[in-house]
Amino acid sequence: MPQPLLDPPKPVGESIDTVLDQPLRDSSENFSDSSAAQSPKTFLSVFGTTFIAIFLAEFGDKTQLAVLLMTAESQRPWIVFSGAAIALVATSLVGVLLGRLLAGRLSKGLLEKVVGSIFLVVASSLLWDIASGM
Amino acid sequence: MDWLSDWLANGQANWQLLALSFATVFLAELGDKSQLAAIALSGQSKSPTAVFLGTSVALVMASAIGVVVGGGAALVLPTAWVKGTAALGFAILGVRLLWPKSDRGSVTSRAKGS
Repeated sequence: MPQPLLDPPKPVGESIDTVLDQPLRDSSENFSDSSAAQSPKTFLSVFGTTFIAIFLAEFGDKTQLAVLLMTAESQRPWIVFSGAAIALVATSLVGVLLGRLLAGRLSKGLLEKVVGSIFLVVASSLLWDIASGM
Repeated sequence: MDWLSDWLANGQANWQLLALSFATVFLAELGDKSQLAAIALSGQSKSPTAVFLGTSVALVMASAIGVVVGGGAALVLPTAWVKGTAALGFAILGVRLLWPKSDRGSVTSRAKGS
């Protein structure tokens, strides 16, 4: 009988982290604290913060409306939803990889300025949506 | 079995519709604010995987609500208020990072430290 059956399950944070985080820890020297051991609690708090921020930002957004319209038009809601879901996961992945690329290339001070500016751009974009009646 | 019957309607797989909805949403989201937010959040964060999962689940859930609730979504939650809250949150994150001599805490360390 092989051993793995008896192994205790790993914490979620550790088992999934190896997918994206591991390769970049080696290359990003300016992120001194990124090699610190991550607890599942950290993972969950980052997950929760991100989830709430993105969910609020996208709620009632044009993507939600586009999916709604395509669903109503096609009468094949599950297929439209599947296509949309795959696309959203793909754009998220591209975004996160770009963010990792930036984090690896820029000094910590410059990274903070760039990231801070992006946050302000996102905030303005949201305000613009409200103003233009989205 | 809803999914199966949708998928195999007319006796063949609906690749075309799947591709169409993928392309529409992918192009709409490319370079949009949620992707910018994902870039910024993961650039800051110690756990990009958590950012990736959080972003993905939030986006998929938002569009799922679009499908299920339809036009009633705006009635459940007033969109302007929801977006205004998000705008305020992102503005605070941005100002915290750009403010000179602020505590140099990242998004994650703030969440962890509280």
